[in-house]
Amino acid sequence: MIRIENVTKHYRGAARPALDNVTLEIEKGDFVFLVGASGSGKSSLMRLILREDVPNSGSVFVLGENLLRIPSRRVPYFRRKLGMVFQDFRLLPNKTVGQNVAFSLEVIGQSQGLISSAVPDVLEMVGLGDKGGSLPHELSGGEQQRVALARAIVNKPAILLADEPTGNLDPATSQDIMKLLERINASGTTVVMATHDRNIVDRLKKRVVTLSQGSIVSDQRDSGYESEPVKPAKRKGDTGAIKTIEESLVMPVTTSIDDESLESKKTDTKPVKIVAVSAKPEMDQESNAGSKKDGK
Amino acid sequence: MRLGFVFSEVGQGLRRNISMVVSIVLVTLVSLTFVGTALLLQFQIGQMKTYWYERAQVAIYLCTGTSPGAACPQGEASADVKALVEKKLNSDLLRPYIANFSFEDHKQAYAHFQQQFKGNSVAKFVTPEQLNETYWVKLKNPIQSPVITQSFNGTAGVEEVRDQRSYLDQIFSILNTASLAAISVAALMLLSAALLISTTIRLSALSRRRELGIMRLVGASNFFIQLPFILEGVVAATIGSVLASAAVLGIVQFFVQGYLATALPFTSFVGIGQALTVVPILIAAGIVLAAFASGIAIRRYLRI
Repeated sequence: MIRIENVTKHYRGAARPALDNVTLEIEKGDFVFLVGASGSGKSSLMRLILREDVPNSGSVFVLGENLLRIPSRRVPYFRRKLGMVFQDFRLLPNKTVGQNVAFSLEVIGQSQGLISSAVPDVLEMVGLGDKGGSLPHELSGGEQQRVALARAIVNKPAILLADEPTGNLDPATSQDIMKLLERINASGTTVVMATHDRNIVDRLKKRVVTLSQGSIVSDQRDSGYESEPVKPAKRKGDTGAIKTIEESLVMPVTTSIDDESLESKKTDTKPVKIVAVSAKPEMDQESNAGSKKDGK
Repeated sequence: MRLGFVFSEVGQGLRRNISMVVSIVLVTLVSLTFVGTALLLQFQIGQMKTYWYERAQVAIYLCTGTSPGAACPQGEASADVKALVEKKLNSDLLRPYIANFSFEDHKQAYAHFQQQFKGNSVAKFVTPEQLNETYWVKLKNPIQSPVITQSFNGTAGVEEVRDQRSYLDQIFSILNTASLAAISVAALMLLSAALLISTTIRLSALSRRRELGIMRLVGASNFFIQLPFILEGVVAATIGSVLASAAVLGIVQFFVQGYLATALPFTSFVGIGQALTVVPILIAAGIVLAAFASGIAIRRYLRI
């Protein structure tokens, strides 16, 4: 679904690369947290997946497309299969909620018939069925992020990228947004979410990829936010860690850099997906259905 | 493709930038009016050329008693000279080039002169003997006049051989210069129109950058993103070029046909028919210019 191999991205004028030899594979139906400090490369990674940028070296495959080779006129069609939400919502202030969602379908040339049926459906799904006529500034932050989510998923994307979607929201509202993201994931959409929010990551027990200074320092399933003390230790072993991750990606087992944790994790991470998705009891039915579909 | 959506975007853009749109309309109006005028002037020159060149003849002026001595040492041309000239004109060498020729003696020349300079005081002092007897030679093809000039220049009793086209060419070169000047002004104006269009489109894109960002994010095709902006420039420039066409038609109808044609009755002037052939050229030029300028402006703004 998403395969990033040995990717290095160096922005012009920056002292060190934003991404340094990163390798990562994300499979269909995964829910992946990208965590790490500001400047660790989370957003750069997302930009690469969205083909907003191309790496200096390495390769990026998303949904069967080689993003280094894709001709620029095909990029828009590729992006239609992805959805994206941001910390700052990015709604159009002069359009109503319904128009904001409809806009994303209008500009890719969907028919009026499809728009008039899809928009109310998706607003209903995000819990804003009665707010279609409101303007963004009349809504709370959480509601605005729901609109952004509705806009991102109305075209039924295979992958949803969320760049700190809860960054501007209070904890309770964040929880609602996370429930929504889990539902979206349960219906088969791969979700990649960059976040700083330790509570959310710890509570959801999903796959967690930790970035630091442009490198992946840990990649664990069914995990919480990386504990702080590990960070200094792994800087020396950076390259070793990447090798381990690369090897482990051949058969998708997750790993961590320090050897003890690798040993200990290996056993309980083997039954990969089922454990990960059934972490939340109330989602059981849908998630299993979703992951079974992935299995095919 | 959602045309309704595209057109509503175009309408919004035009309303938002109304003052810039008005300036685009005015600049294209003025520049294309210059282009149209220059084109019509070229038509006019072409038309006058065919008209006058057909009537232009080569004049073989024979010596008179008052001719300057250097050209005519023997004074008044004798009957022998006339016979020689006629023989030459009828020879096998020159015959194929000549449509016809006629002889104008002192009396005829005097009558002609009196008619041409009627009311001018010079007419009172001229006597028939001072005016050259002339062979007027009409050629089959006026361009071949050097054949005659070379044959008779320096012949004894011939004062001068003159192609009338040389007088016409002076007039045409003046008209040509005028039309070149109009074209240079038009080129400068068109350049400023193009720059104005691209600035306007860039402003328009800037004021809609949120929308553009989202369009790119959700995968609107480049063509779809650019189309409203290109159309915005094209609509403004089309209004300008339609007005310019109206101005050109108005100039031909009211100034050329209404005033010049009555003031100078013996000259054939460009008519509405020719002005109408200029109209599609002007409109096409306006559209192409605007599409090009706004296309480049928006492309630079929307690079993926």
